[in-house]
Amino acid sequence: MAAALGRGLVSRQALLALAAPVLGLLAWHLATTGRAYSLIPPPWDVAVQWWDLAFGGVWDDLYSATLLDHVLASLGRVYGGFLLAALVAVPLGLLIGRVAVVRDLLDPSLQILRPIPVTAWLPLAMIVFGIGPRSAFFLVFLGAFYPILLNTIFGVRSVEARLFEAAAMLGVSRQATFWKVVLPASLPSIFTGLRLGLGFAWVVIVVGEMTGVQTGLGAIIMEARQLSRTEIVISGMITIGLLGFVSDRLIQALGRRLLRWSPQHG
Amino acid sequence: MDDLAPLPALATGTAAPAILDIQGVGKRFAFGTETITALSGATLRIPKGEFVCLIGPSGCGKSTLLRMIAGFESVSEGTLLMAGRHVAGPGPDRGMVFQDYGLFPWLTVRQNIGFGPAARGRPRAEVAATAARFLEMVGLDRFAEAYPHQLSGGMKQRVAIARVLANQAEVVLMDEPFGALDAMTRENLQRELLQIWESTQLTVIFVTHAIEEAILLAGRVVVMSPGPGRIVADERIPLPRPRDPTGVEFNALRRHLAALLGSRH
Repeated sequence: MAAALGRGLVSRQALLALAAPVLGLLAWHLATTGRAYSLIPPPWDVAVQWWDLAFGGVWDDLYSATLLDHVLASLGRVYGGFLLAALVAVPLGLLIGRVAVVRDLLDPSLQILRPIPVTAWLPLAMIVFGIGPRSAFFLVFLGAFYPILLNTIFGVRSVEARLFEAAAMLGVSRQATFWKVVLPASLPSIFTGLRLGLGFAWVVIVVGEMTGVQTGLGAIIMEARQLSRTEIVISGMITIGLLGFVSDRLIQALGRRLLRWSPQHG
Repeated sequence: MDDLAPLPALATGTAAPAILDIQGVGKRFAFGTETITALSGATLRIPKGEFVCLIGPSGCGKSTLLRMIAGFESVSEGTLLMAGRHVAGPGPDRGMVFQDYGLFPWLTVRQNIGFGPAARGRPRAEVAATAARFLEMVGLDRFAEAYPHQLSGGMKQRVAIARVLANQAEVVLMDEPFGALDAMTRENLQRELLQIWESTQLTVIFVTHAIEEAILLAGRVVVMSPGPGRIVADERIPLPRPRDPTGVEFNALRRHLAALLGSRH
């Protein structure tokens, strides 16, 4: 009974989730298919193009069966930049949140740099890192850095005072408090930061790959735009959307496993 | 029994050495440019094994005194000795049970109870055995692997009590521990607390604002009054346990304490 109810709920949820894309697809189809001239290609043409991009066998041109290379190149930059951002931002956030001197030293500067959009860094990144994948990697790093940093600081700063008292009266030394209380208590916030950071990494990757990069989803989108191959542009967009979605689902699943104790994640 | 005379002052702290010796202790807080006296001139000798209730209206300094004994607040004046040594900060010899539990949400019930011994580097097997023993004592075996957010308030408070006992605290400080619980749960926990106290050598200092709870539990009730916070009476409760809150003597004590509390505003 409960299982049947659960299944019913899931399928209802799935139906609701599909409603908007199906409607969007339908509108797109009606607005573009059968027109003598349309700047936006109809959905079926895009589907065929996506298939050729992924597996080849339709057009057999320069782009056929190259999707995996582009996906792998982008994945490498997204996860590479993201992991590097996490490695820097989490310890830095813990320090800023916990040590007043570090906070006074770094926080004002970081707050001034924060409002600068990642895209505004692109010219400077190209000067420093050269035109190419290293700039893209840097932008991804920067995009993921702030959400992780700010959420880590927030997590450390909002540990309940009561938990410090509880640990102290149970005999935890001042030095051990960090590992016994601060770190585990801030994990849910750190995790939220990681999730947001990974999302931003996917947003930024296209910008990062738009100039001077040969492979990558951002690179083919820009290249296809110049060649007016709008089907490829949309295929690339859809691929990024799907990869970002799967990425987010994975990190959420990881969170549910690691943070079973937290009512917000468990 | 309405005109019950002041209770015979039983000899306090006779042969038993005081585990807590509080001499003229006071607490002042700076509040902007003003200084607020939360507690002044508190003197108490508490022998080992005693169950003491601190009672009084809000602002009487009862929680402040408890937090100074715990070492969470510094002492502004007077001396506060625990087992003959100045209290300089929190320590595992004085376990605290908070009204809002203060459990570690990322640890299971079992891990919360074993937290103290584990944090102090006891061997793994010993931590496991200690946790198991106190899980059983508070009747939470079935919830050993649950996380705090899955527990009711009464269960959380049982965990909070168990973790302090598992850590071998000599003095258990309780800050209105049952104030947030429903009446039924509160009665159960009061009974269980008394059983635990009777079966151990614990010294309990229990802050409450409920007269009935104080008479039900304590061997001695310390009455406090606000403005500034101070101790105004120190009464023995000479009734045998378990105590009957509907009994004549119980009610006489209740009136007596209510009078002490009411007449000193």
